[in-house]
Amino acid sequence: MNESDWQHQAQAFIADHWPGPERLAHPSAYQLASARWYEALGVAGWSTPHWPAQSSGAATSQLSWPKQRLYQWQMFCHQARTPPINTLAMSLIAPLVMTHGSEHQREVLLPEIAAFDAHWCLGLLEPVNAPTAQPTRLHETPAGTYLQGEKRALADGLLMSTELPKDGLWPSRMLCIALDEAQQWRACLLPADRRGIKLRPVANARGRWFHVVLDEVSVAPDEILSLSGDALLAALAQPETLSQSMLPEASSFGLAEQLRLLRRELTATKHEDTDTLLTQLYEAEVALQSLRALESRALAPATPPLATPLPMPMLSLKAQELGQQIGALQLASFGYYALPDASALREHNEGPIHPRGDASGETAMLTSQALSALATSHYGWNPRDILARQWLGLGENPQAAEEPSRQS
Amino acid sequence: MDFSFTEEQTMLHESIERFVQSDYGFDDRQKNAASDLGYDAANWNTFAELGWLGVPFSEADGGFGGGAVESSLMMEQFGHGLVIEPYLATVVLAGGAIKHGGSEAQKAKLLPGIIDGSTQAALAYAEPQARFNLADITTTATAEGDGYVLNGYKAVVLNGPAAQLIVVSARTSGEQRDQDGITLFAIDPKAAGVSRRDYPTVDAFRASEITLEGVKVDADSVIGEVGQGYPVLEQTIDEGIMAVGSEAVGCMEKLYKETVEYCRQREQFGQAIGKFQVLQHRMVDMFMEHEQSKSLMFMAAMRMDEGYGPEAQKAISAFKVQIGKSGKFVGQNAVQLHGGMGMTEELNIGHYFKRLTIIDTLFGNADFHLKRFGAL
Repeated sequence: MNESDWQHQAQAFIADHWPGPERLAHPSAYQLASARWYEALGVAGWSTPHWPAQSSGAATSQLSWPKQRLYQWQMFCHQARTPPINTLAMSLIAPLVMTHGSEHQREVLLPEIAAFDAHWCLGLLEPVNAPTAQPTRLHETPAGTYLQGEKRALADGLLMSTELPKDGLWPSRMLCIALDEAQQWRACLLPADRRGIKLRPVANARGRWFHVVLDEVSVAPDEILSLSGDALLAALAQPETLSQSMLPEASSFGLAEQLRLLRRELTATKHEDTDTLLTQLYEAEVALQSLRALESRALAPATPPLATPLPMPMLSLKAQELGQQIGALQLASFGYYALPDASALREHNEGPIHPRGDASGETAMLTSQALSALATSHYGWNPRDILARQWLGLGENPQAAEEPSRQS
Repeated sequence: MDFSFTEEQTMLHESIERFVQSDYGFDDRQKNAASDLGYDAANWNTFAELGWLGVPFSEADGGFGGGAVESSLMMEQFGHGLVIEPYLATVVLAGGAIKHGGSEAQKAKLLPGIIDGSTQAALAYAEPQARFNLADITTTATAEGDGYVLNGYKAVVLNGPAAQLIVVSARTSGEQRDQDGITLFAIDPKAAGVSRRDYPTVDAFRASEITLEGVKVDADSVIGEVGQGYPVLEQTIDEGIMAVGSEAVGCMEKLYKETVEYCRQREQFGQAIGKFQVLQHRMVDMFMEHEQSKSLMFMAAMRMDEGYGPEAQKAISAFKVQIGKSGKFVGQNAVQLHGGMGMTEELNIGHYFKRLTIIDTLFGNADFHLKRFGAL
């Protein structure tokens, strides 16, 4: 199939399976459409076109799309504002399991991820407000191996909602890191309903977080990843080093859509702050060009004079900063109409408040989408620490080396 | 965007990189900058021998046939070495105006000297009242007999002291800020009525204030069509932005890498200062500013090579905004992280910072180009 045919096919697939957020005013309608979207992706195999064929027996790994096509696929999805494909499970758990999982782990977990059947949450961080808190421990007894401790876990952003999760969205699996008796970091891959695991949702504007209590949680040997210690932390911090087949992000296209809406809002009516806001809009548009240029370079072959590939955390960080820049500009642009909680209005089917329609509500929703997506990009690790260590060779921050779970 | 480079482009990049790394030491650069000429004539001859002075000109005109991508690859390397030789003024600006506006006869007459290194040239386009508006011109060219008489004042003419050929913008009709009615002339700086006041700039280059009092030129001196000089000037200046922006990318790379290396070595409180997280994050931000600028450099160069028009102009302005912002950030932080050493004359860091500061101002600063970007 040539590129033009493929592009038509990809756009038709999206049109067939995703109605668009503007037609999904109520959160429950959005959630239902999301579930259908993920199901369609799984059935068609378009959830994992970036996976190498040998990583799983599933038909989903047979597409072997080139990098440019993967990027375009992400671009089309962003433009249509579909629920994201690059979920935590897809971008972190899958490469980890593919590279370091046992055969059993690969057989069980990868098809689940490809079909979006499992909602993962990541237990990397620990509560930072308890100075006496100890790291989560993995200890062995004659009866078996057990986890004990507390975590602040980030849940998969499958449905991109900032609301607290409801029953159907409750995490079903958890990756949890803990120190074993040899003081080595280990990663446990557990069902979230295992006896001894208690999840309590924590309200947070940037993704769905849980306070997790792990009370004598039994862990089977094949639920522990073989990778351990510093190598495990490095892999968790920078999963793209694990696999050459990551799905390249095209964040700029999602952010471009927000800027388009913002420009429409700013040019709709003129007021005394318009010129200042327009200047800020242009700054954001230049930053968008810069992000797009970075994305394009990330796809380029590593040949002279561009022999060094761009680090992926740089793209995430840039997208994150631009998202924040746009968010601040949205708040400034809407004036008092930044105050209404658009999702609460949708919840009760009360419709838009703004006299010109739902512009502010729509943009607020887009802001939360962007922030939610970006919050999942590095799982609570600071991308600057990763860049300093891995790309500038500046060595570990001594405090971070001692307490890797508290870098948030 | 297609980032695959041709074999010729890669070879050009490698040859300039080798020259800058092996033959262009900072101490020599400083010595040459302080000389009467302000640069090294031997280096200039080397540039000519290696064909670098002909890079942006077509093969029909005796050049390499390169475009904006080749120009960026070259200038980025010049930025690494803080090259002081007047490539921008002679080749990109004066040569560019002749390339875009000149007749075949003018190109045949004027370009060979630039390409073989025997002619130093300058573009006199700025005026004191104009700030960054290329169309704001009070210098007049009045038709007289078969030629014109030029009267006016041109400000901060880069390479003015060494120039043997100056391309001057003057108004042949219209009001002070009209884009129509601007004409370009190639003049001899030794002609009667031309006077210069020469000075060094803060980044160690040379420039002149040029006064034109009843300067008589013949009709053959007109570059392009009478009254239609503005589009030529605009395209030439945009190529100038592409060139200095790329130079800034090279300067930034040098600054962030030297800063990282310094922070690895310099110890405070019993350990290398590069181990402090707050400093690591600053260096990461410097690294990011450089990579963003470099990415926009390629984007702008590719847009320029696709064809000059509003899309290319917009990409150029976005690039210039980024360069202004990033150059300031990288320069300030390089100085800051080097401590007091950062501003000393003997250390190269402050010199790179000065060049970056001047590059922000050249051809319109970040604020000016943000406005242009928004308007396009």
